[in-house]
Amino acid sequence: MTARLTGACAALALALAAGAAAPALAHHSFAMFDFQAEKTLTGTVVQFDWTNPHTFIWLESPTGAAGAMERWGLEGMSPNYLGRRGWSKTTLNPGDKITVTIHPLKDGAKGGTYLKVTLANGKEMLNFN
Amino acid sequence: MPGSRFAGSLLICALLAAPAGAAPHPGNQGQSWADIAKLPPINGVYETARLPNAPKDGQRDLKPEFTPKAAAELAAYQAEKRQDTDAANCLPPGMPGIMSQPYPIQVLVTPGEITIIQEAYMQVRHVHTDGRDHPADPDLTFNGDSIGHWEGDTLVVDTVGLAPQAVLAQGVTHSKAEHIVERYRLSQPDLLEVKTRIEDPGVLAKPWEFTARYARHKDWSLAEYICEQNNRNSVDASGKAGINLDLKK
Repeated sequence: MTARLTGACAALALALAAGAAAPALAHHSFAMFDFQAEKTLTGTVVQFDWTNPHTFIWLESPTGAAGAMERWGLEGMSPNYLGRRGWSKTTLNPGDKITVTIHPLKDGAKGGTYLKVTLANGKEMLNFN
Repeated sequence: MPGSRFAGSLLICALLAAPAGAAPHPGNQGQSWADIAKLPPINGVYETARLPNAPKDGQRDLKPEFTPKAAAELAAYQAEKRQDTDAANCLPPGMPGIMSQPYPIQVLVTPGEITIIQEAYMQVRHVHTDGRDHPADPDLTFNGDSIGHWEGDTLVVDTVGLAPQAVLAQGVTHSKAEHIVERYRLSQPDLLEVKTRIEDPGVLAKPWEFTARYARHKDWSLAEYICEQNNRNSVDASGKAGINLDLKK
């Protein structure tokens, strides 16, 4: 997974460096995310935005001091992309307990781009596939 | 009156002898539904094909070669280390980039026009196949002015009139002379091959040529894509990227 994503990002970086007209990934670059780092969050879904140009998972996770709950905003591919690859607007629902692997934002804000979501029943859903 | 009849004949002769601005193309040009039925069936929904032997960036098999002036502009742009492009603010890339998005396209063949719809940014290209020529001084647009004709089993699409915001290559300013010719052909029953050649003499040191392949998905239809629906990404004038993480933005 990581290898595949790293490959995609390497291709993107190469495309940008070469001044190519259209990177393989549409809409925006991933410069703000730290692709060298992976972070795993466990928590409760507050909201799942099944919207363009990106889906967003809003997650409450005990990442604060002494396990205080904090809200994370996690960006993923669009419903158009994910909807053709096994996801739907009901894949995640408010209250669902999930585990998410992300590349976090470089600036330390509570956000990132999600790679993999593990549902309560153990099923794994991939963002880039 | 004999005089006016003579003048009329002269006019007709002049019209017949004049070098035609848009010479009619020979062969079936799909001017009726019956004629379209005899053309290669390129109607359908396609996605950029990632073939096993495809180049790493998905489809560009050759990089553009720039004139020294354009190369210097690109180097200056790269030195700025901008984090993102205007696409983060939902501006579509225009031609040619709109043809290589990670979203499907739909080709519709109708008498006199072939329409190419891109799901990404919900863009539409109108390719006029009714024999018209480009306007003498076209308005400059993101997707340009496109005319097309058939050469046997190949659809040739000719595009000019591209706006400055239509990205030829990020960091390089194209000229009004940019000219794109695409040749569409079904290389396999469900694989649409598009050979693209871009000329812009002051910017490209030689024509930029590349081949893209699109796989037909017979059970797909295009979905809505409103980039402004929930766009939390942004880029400012200095090139700094941002992301809005307020749940109720």
